[in-house]
Amino acid sequence: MLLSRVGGSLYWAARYLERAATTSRIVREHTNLLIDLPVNEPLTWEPLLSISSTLDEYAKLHTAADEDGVISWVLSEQTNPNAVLNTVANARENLRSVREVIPSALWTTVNDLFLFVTAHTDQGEDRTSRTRFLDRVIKDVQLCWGIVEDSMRRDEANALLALGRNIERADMTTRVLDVRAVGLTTLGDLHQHADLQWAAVLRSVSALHMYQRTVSNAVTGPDVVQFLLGDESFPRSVRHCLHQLERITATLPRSAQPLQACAHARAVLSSRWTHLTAAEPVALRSGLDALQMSIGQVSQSLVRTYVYPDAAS
Amino acid sequence: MTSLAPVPDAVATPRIPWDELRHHDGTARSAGRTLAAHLERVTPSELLDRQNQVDVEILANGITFTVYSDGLGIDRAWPFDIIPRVIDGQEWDHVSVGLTQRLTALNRFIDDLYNDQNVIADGVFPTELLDGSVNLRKECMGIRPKFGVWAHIRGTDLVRDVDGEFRVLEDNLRVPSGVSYLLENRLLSKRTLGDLFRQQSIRPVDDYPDALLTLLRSIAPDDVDDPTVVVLTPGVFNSAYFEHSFLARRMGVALVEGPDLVVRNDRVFMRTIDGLRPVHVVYRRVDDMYLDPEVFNPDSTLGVPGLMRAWKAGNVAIANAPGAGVADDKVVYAWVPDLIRYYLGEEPLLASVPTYRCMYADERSYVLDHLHELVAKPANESGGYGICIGDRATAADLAETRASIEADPRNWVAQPILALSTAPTLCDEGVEARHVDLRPFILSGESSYVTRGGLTRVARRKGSLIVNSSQGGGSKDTWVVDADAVEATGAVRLTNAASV
Repeated sequence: MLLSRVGGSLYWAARYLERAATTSRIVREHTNLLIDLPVNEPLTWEPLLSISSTLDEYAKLHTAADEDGVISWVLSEQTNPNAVLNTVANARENLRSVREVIPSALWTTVNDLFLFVTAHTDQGEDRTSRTRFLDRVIKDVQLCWGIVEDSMRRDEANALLALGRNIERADMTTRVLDVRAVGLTTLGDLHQHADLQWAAVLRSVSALHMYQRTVSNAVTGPDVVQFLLGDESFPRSVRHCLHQLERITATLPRSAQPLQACAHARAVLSSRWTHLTAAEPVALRSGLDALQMSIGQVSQSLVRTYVYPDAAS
Repeated sequence: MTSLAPVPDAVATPRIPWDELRHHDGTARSAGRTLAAHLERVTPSELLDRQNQVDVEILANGITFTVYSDGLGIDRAWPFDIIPRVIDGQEWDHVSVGLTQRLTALNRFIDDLYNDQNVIADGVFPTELLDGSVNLRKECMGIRPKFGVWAHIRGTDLVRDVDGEFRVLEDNLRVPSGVSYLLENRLLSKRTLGDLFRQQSIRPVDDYPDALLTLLRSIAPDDVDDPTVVVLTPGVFNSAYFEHSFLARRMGVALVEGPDLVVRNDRVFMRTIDGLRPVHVVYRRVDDMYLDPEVFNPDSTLGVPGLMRAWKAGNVAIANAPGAGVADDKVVYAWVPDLIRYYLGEEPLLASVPTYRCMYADERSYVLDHLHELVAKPANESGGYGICIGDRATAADLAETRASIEADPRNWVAQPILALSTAPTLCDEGVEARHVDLRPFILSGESSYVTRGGLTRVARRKGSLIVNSSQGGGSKDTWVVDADAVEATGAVRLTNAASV
């Protein structure tokens, strides 16, 4: 028996935690890539803003998308709700109001991470310590999921956490593809250092190694897109996330509407498959837009059903 | 009613405060021998290291309380002093019986006030006091909660006077807090001073949440086999939110806010992801006035519309019952010894603080003449508001208090200024004596339960009597030690070793 309000807090806490980790991975791999690439490469820091859909807000405060400005924006800017600092703070705030239903180690880990990022944002901004700072965020979030996996009953509270985690993963994977893959596809595979860049795309959703084991071929654009969208078993592929969402939702009461939304998202992925994998930027973008919208509908349906249910029903 | 015979001599002579650990000659009291010996062995810097480790743990575990400043709630780390306060086991047994006796009489009194009012008919309690009480809820007249118990959970404030006698300072029958910190303090001290737990017999405290859940389940409506209990909190911004969450977690029950509950056909339900589910017992940490906007403050969003209807219909139990605060009034306090005699036919086992009631002309004139050496208290304020401590007040404060008493004598009492006992405390200057009080928690339902010891609060500034955490006070673990059990424990170990 889980209170709707508590369910909502768990769902959002999981989304914020996963967002903190994915944003950290994206920043880490983007930094590494820019260090790797020759200085005359046309890659900038701007994609970090596009991925979190905060380009317009950033432009209100800054004139240039340089490293200092973008990094402090995505890591610690108070007014950016998707800054790592704010996502960790939001995860903590949500978990603080549901401590009675989660393993105490989950709370102490998130609280500890919050204290760390609050005290050490300067480490994230400085290039020499940035990787260490981001590694800490990523590892602590992994620790959180480990604690959930290791010590939590597979009850409704667990289900709401898992739903939030999978929605956020599906969403972030499509965002990364939307910004990075569409741009790279425009440049074409013959572009110098295209393989480095595609590898960075995989790394930013921690998929490089699993991709290599599965595809066992040189990294190419169409293969990367296919893997991240369609692999059955990779935890951050959109297909896998949708499958998890459907499986977990089916264990919950009153699941008819969210299940319908899940089915619809899966149908979008299938029906747009040829567009999505055609290695053609316009088709890829429109396919990703449709997919993102259907994932958003799953999220809305979950929230409507479990967080704000009609009290009379 | 007999008036108190004023004893100005006893008040005027300053005496050395009682120390919890040592006699005046510096030797340790028997229950404190192990701790005193330990304190002689360790250096101040070792103690400071341990204190720093504990402070880090408190922060990492998020053991916090909220203070308000400029309208903003700020989460502060819980202030904990690593040197525990020790109480002798036999003495505690005696205090426990006195606490239970007192709560039993208070519950009989509340039940009487809301029903037959025999206590007034028999001339033991003046009717004009009842009329002036802000905590009397007319809406509760004629209700009889299960077992006749209204105040299920009480957090009494005890102080020890210069002669070492525990005295009740306040009863706190509404929504007393602090028990979660009592339990957390024990966890912290086990980690810091774990060795000392092996060298003596310290009574455990950790069964409180079980005792509380047993109590709450026992007061459910009779027709419910497996009752659903919830903790009702005003929300994450309340200063005691940590405790609400802690108790819900340790009891394994839902922590709900007002909007999570809904009343249909005089029955209470909570909104779950599977729709509405029935609720049978509400452990509320919301004040009476915010409990139900239909009956009390209509603007309250913290409460549940219809909750009082459901309670009156007997479909839900509320702990503490609405209206229980009528006996939690600094004027009623002065009558408690008489109430114990009246309801139980027994002498009070636990001392009170002598209290002058300003509603009586002779006591009032004594108070007005001696305001500079008394503590004057308004009847219904809590958290130290409105209190005038005579020997520290300015002439203007005294004049203002005098005017307030003359304007509304019913709502004022005065007590001698107590020299609270002290306990060794780790301060910037090293280990020094600081004043302490004690808040044990008492449960009352079908049977009674008293915590082993309680929450010890300590004033951190030299000479200060202010122990409230919101005003910079700290806390200590409280060890109820069975002094003569030490040898016995050793003997058991030897026998076991021999039998292996």
